Amino acid sequence: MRKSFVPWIVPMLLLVVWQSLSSTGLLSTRVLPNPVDIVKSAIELGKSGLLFENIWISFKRAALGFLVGGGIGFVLGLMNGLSRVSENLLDTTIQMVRNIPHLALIPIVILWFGIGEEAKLFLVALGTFFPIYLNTYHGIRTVDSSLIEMGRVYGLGKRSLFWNIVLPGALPSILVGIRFALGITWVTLIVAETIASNSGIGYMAMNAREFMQLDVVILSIILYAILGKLSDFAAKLAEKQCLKWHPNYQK
Amino acid sequence: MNQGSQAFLELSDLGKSFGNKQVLKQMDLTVEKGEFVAVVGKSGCGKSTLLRILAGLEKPTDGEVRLDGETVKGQNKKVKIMFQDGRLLPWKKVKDNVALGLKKEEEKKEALQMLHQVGLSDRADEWPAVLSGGQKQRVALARALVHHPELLLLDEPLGALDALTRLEMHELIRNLWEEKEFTAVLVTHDVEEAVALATRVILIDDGEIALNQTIKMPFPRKKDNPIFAKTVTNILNHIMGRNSELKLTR
Repeated sequence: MRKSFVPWIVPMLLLVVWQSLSSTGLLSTRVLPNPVDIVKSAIELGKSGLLFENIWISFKRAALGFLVGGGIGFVLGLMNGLSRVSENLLDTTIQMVRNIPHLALIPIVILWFGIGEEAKLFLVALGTFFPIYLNTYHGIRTVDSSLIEMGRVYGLGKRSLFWNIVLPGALPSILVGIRFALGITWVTLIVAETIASNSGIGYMAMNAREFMQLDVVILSIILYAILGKLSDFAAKLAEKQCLKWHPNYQK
Repeated sequence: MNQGSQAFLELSDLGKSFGNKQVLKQMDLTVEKGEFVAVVGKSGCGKSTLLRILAGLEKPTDGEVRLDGETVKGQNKKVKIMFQDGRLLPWKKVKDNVALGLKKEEEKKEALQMLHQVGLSDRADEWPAVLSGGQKQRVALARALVHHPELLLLDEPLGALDALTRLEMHELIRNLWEEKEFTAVLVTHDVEEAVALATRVILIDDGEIALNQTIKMPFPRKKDNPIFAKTVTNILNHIMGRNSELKLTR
């Protein structure tokens, strides 16, 4: 109990300092609105339904983009990890595309898709594709070959070899890829929503900026932080669940 | 079966090279059903390669291996190998490791029974990571035996264990061998271990069989028995003897 409280001491202290600096006037609300005001504006936006609508829209974009990009990355990673033919055919191309920063594509993406949903989906999918592809591919390639040999001796066919040895062996690496991709998902979405959007948290922030509603801007930033943290937490939970066998996750 | 005319395991003119290096040279050997053969030799003498050929994991460059009269090509259901490092799947519980490759429910029950026989039924639901080295090897042994191999190959299975655990494992392996009546080939660098377990000790030196000695002492074999000590010394002398000869000719 006491231990779980310790990590929160510093953030709490910062909040208290922030609030007191703001209420004594040392910190102008034009520079940084105080926490109480931010909470107030959050409640207001919450009442109008705008807040949750925007959160939901952003979450949907993140989830969909992640599923599409991650899904394609996972499948291609599996293919190239398992088959030399597929690797020879595709890996070089993928590695070349990987070196293009996906956010650099924003101008062309806006030209192609406008500021619609497709633009965000495309960017998020592209961003999450590579970490999951690379880690799946790498995970499969580095499965202990002695275990595969053992599996063959003990009569496992190709399919059960995959399910019993290759996939579980690659899983730690795949999960690292997922955590990494989740981080990229949010970064990409923030950029895409701030630059080209008419809904979502990023749009909310940009819209608020025009009216000098600094509290809403800060609120948006905090929302992104919370959503990012939550998805990382979910990934961590999944890791704990899937890697129960791993000595590092025991106890 | 007429054992006199047909040996269970037959190596004829067996040779294996990796590139220019010849690891095994024209090896001939016959093993009867139910024998416990220990293969000893210095590291790099080719004994592990021999075992991998028997398991069908390597192809011989020359000659052939016959099992029950049939030439061994690739892996064979009658043969199971137990590896030096156990090779348990860390992501499967102990009982699922033993049941690896089994399909029917009854067979899976048998896996639990086999775990009981190696004295680990209380650890069935643990992850392999929490087991000690000796326990891991016992799980690996159970996993091999649950397939009812006719030929069990043991690749230095006790190499990484401490002396006391080794003695326990010797007894376990010997008991199971007597009970299940499989044929065993044990590769080891420990001559005492070979003499404690085997009905025949084969010494490989430089890819050739340098000694092929039947050991007739009754089980259990005690180390303080003078014959035991003498046999061990004799084999050790053979290993060292060839070595010093080589040095002189150089």
